[in-house]
Amino acid sequence: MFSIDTSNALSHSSHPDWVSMDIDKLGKSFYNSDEQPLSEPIRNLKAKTLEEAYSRNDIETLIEYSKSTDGLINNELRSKIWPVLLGIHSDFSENNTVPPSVSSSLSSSMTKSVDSTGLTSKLKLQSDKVSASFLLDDLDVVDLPPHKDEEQVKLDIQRSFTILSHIQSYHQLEGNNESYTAIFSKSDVDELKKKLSTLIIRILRKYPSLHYYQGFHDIASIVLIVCHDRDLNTIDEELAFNILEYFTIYHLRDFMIADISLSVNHLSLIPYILETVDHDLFELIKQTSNGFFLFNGTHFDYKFYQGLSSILTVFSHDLGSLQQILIIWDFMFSYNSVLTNIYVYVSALVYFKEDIFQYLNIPLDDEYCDYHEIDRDLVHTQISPTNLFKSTTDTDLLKILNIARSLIKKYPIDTLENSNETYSVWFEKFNPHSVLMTTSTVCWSGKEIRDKVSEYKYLLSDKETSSLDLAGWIQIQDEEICKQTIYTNEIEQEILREQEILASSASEYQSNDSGSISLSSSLSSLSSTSSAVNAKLISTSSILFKKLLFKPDDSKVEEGKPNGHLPLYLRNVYKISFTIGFIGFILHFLLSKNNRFHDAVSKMLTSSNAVVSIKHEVSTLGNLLSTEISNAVSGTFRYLAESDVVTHSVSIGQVGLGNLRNNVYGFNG
Amino acid sequence: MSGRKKTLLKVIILGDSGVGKTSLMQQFVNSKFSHQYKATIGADFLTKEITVDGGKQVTLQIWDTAGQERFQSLGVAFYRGADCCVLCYDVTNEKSLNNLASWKDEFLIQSNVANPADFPFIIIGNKIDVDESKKIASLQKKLNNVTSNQLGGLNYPVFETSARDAINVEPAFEVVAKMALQQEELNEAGNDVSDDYNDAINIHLESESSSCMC
Repeated sequence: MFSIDTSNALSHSSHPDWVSMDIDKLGKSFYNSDEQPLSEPIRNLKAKTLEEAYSRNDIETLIEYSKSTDGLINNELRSKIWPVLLGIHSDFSENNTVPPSVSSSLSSSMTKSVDSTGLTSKLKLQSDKVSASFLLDDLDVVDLPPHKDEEQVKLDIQRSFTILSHIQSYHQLEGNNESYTAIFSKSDVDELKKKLSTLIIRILRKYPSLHYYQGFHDIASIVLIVCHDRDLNTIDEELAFNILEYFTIYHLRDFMIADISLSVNHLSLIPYILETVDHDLFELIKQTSNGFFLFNGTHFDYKFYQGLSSILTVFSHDLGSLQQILIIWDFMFSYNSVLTNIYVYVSALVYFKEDIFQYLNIPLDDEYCDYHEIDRDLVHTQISPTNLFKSTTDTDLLKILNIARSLIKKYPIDTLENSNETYSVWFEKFNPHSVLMTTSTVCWSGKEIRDKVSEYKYLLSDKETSSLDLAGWIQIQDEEICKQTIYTNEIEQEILREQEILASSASEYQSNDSGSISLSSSLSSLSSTSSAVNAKLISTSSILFKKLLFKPDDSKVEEGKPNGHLPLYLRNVYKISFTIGFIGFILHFLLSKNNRFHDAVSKMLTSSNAVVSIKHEVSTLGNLLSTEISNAVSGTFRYLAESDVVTHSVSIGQVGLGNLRNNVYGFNG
Repeated sequence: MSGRKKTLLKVIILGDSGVGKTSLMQQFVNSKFSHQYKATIGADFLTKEITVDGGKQVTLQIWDTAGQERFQSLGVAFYRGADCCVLCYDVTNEKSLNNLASWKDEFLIQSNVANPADFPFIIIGNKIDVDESKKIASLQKKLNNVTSNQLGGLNYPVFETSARDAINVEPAFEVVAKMALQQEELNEAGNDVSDDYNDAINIHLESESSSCMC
């Protein structure tokens, strides 16, 4: 009956034509309402429609409306619809009845604990003594051995629910009477912390292979708030556990393996997407990144640490408004993927781009921009969440999510520029067990969500019932990321090596003193990106390298003069190396210039008395050589003969003066 | 890239989770304290202009970092170019005291400073406002033990502070500023060699090495 009004209003609110809009046309929409949060009557209508869609199991409508303006409207709806979007109610579409609780089969010990405390336990309003020991009451019902990270959890719980102070400011701003602060008194917050602790520790103890990270407590606190029933002032802890369990195992798993590098992989997707979507922002991030600088502008490692807290906590650590956080979560759950958070961060950067560039004083319309002039620390701040989201309004967020939605549609993650060297390597090649390749891929329909969730259901089951459980899975993931780290290190070492050769040949042209200083300084700074062991190796070899190669130029000039300040063995070293080069040059010359000599020389080289013949040959040619050098030559060849190098004499022929440097360094490196 | 007009001093605050790194920074920069500080994830900085003795104006750029061990390996992105490092512990938490040396080592490995042997560190023991009974027993002895055995017997300045009650925070950071300034001047000296070092690779040194003999 009210359907006409409703559908009109809602079609505006969900902008069905929106996704086809070009990103450049953003903000030029005809419908002013498209760019504004919903008015109260429309909110109510949307809530009603969502309620109806929920009761008739219409998951497609729920998915569509979760993405649209103001998301799922209120927490009562969220606590019902999030489980559907997460695929917890796997029989949602087939079965008409919504199961009241799906938890009973998940873990027997857990269920017992729930029964004893009651499914919904009343928040006590009277002041409760909260101390460090408060955990224990709840913990003995969780009849499992403690998790290794519980100490850290305890520390973070003490600093949790800072968002509640934000709720206060939010409602003051909105002039909203239903202020959370009226419900959450100090003692309520303490009670919430207690429940938060229980919730996190239940997850960790059930899945001991998970590694807790700071920020997971922010995630859990959002889940807990959503499961709070405002009218009864109770929390459905079992529901909270189910939501958090599915969310953790299916979507946050990558952040909870032992190695943090996989989280860094996720963050690298931010510059990766920008590379296709926004050239200016990509260049800004690339050219002011530490990695780019350390590789002297030849290599960008796509490291983007700034987004860490936003991605790890799904913005709950960084946004000041709980409403805004929840709308982003609605958005994420509608795709059943954490990848959307990457797009949201990208969209925020795109949305605030003008502010960022203006602040940094970079003209946007200039073709050429000298990024060397830009203060990299300022860039860091500008693209960090604290600054990016410091005064984000509801309207800003709406626009950001609109951008994100069109980006997700238009630029699927595996189809972007340069994906062969980035995304495919990071995820398809090295981390096929990542959530982005398995349990948290972007879904477009209820069926896709259901299929995906049931395919990996075994990750949630108890250890005994499955061949590959979560612990095994996480171990595989740790091995995968380890392989990637080794691979990346090798690539970067290779780049560093090339640069060292470049750097050292550049410094050869310099005067003695400044040359040697700059050589060592550039070599040591090159090493800063590599691990400690590699750094040591490089600096050692750079010293050797320098000793071997840098001085010969001088000795050539000063030949014959005593070189008093150098130890004798050193002088010999470059005498020999110089001589090898010289002989090599001659051989090379003979081989390439003169066919008659070619045969003779190759015969000599292959014959058993090659050493003697060469010595003889050399000394007849040796009118050019001083006796000192010819002695050195014979010494060299004796050495070569002893070490069997002469059997590969063709390669000696290749040792021209130009190659010498590389070869000697190659032995050392 | 060399020759910044203003003197910007980069300071890194390190220490175990929950010792009060964020509180110290907030107390110093904004003169406020809250029990509501969120756990720090990643790293970010605040700046404050102060005058060190001699009337020199400097800008302290103070980097607050995450205490959880799993974030430590990301430090390499933030530690670069630091002029001073503040090692924090909690006077009620012995483990945080014993971890000072590993924080120092980790910092030196990741920051790649030019002079690891005499890079300026300062030690801050926070939360002295708490009840005496909660503090580490025979703290002074244990602290001496840590500094002389684990921190290489170097005499790093030690401050005991309360970020909550604003005790000793200001004096501690004044020393930080002085030490950082010294380090910065050391870096500036010597033909910009250390500056090049800190600014990493620059193979086109021909033009640079002759410049800036100011």
